Amino acid sequence: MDAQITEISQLLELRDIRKQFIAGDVTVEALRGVSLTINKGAFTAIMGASGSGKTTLMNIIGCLDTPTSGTYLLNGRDISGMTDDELSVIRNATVGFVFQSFFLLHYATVLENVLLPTLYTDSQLKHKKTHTAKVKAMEILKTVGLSERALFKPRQLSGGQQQRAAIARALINDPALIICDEPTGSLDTKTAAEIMSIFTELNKMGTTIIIVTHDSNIAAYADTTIAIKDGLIDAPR
Amino acid sequence: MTRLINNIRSAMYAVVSFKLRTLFCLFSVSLGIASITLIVASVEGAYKKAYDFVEKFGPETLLVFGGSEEQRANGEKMKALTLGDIKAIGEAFPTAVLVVPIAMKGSTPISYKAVKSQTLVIGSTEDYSRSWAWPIEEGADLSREDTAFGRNSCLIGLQVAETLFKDASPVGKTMLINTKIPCKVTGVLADRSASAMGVNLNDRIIMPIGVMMKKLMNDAKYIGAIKIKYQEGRPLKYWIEQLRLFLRDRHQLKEGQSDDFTIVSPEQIIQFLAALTGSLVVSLGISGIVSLVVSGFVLANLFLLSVKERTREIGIRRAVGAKRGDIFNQFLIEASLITSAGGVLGFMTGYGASKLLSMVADFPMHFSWKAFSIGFALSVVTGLLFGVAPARSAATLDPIESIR
Repeated sequence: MDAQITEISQLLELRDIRKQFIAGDVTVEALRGVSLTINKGAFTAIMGASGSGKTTLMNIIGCLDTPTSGTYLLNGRDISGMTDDELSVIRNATVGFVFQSFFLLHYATVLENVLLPTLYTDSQLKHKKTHTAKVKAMEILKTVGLSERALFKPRQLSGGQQQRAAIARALINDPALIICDEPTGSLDTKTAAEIMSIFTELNKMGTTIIIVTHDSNIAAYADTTIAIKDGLIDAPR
Repeated sequence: MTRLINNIRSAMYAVVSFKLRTLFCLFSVSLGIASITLIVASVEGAYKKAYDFVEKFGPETLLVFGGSEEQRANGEKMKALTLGDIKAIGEAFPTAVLVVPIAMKGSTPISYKAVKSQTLVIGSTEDYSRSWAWPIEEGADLSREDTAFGRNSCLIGLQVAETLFKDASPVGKTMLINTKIPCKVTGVLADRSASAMGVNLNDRIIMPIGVMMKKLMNDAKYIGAIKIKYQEGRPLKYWIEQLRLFLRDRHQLKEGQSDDFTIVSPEQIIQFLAALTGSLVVSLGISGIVSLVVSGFVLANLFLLSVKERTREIGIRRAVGAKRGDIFNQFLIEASLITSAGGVLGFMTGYGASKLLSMVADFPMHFSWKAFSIGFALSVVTGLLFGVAPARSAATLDPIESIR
């Protein structure tokens, strides 16, 4: 009985994930056998110094990269052997990214940036019409407090506002998982706290969130922290 | 399908956003297309003129020149055709509805009062207007009496009328030809602009052939050419052969001796024109294609730079779910959107340039859907061809590297 319940609430599972990079004659092992499980609705922080392998781990969890060996199950599906196109579909439907320097398209408006993922969603699955997608984008912009800036260009916004827009973009396709890479790294303390409270709210409403950071103050917002050191999980805290 | 439409949408957005890149590519492509448009238009124009000419000339019409083809090519004027030949042909061929002499003298001085000029003088019978299907704007054609009695009268082209008489009516006035022959103007020919070869047809005077031969050429016997128009029915080849045999017999040429005359049909005129425009097409076509290829390289170059500059954008799109194919499509569509816009601009530039050209020189141009379609198709092909390499390099960027 117990095992069954865990099975259902589990969002992703990594089993002995290894990742090697070949740089000239040297083979660098960025991940040396990482196993971890993250449940649906969890708020997890992945901590580690630069070069620890946390970014590689994030890329694999976010389906931007595939492991050299090991098994990665996301929503019960094995990701490890998927093609580039299949991974793109998974990223589009299942993962929302929030980056340190926002990564908005500077020539598009906030609203268009939020709608960007919908351009790559096969219409039969979601958003039957552009209209419904637009309505939804406006709703999300409202929840992140940016509805009045919908038609602005990113450079007309403050850093905090740009990150809100990026969060809205991450949410547009109702992803099962949101991955944030140092989401407050470019923001001052006050704005950082505001952004973190948005993540806390989202998590309360059921969104699974993974935050990759080296800042323990930020990691403190999470319920669980996984520390990475030299390509291995250091010690669960 | 929606996906492709979205790719097109993204491409359009980028085309509008990266203005400098768009402008440079646009102009370079439009120059190539403009020159190709001009080429197609001038070839079409030449052919149209040629067919118009043959239409007016009449498909059943032959021209007979004095001298063999070789002698004519060498510039030797062969005195072979006489007014007697004309009379004899008219009697021997009842199916010839028209047999008229043609004699010409270029750069002949003309004057009226103090105004002086030069023009081409043509000797003819009373049938000039009819035989060339050339309407008369004012006055009348040379009359039977004019030619029969050798009157000093003439029919003048529109340009001669404008040069010598300005706004006044020339009909009934007496002008001087070759400084000493007074000649009374009977009528003015209607406007007929440049011929296929660019000769201004309005610059001419037509006078009775007898008068011209006696007073202007100092040679009362030989004429330069004869124009013969047959009734429809038998193929023109038959008449050419009959006429050849008749003239050989009349000129008492022995077997083995070559013709002392040359028969030219409208078909040969078109063939001549085709050869002329053919060489024009080759030389202009090569330069047009070269400029288009150069513009293609400009495009590829700017796009490769653009891919580098937009690495971050590509990474973002890939992170939110764009497949390699989406990125490839977007960049290829961007390239072909720009070049097809360049095609339209190039067509308009070519059109404008042809208007300028026609102000400077008489050059027949004809713009049709064909000219537009060829230019447009070539521009799209340029975009697709030269957009492939940048689009591929954009599509194969590693998403992890590009969002680092």
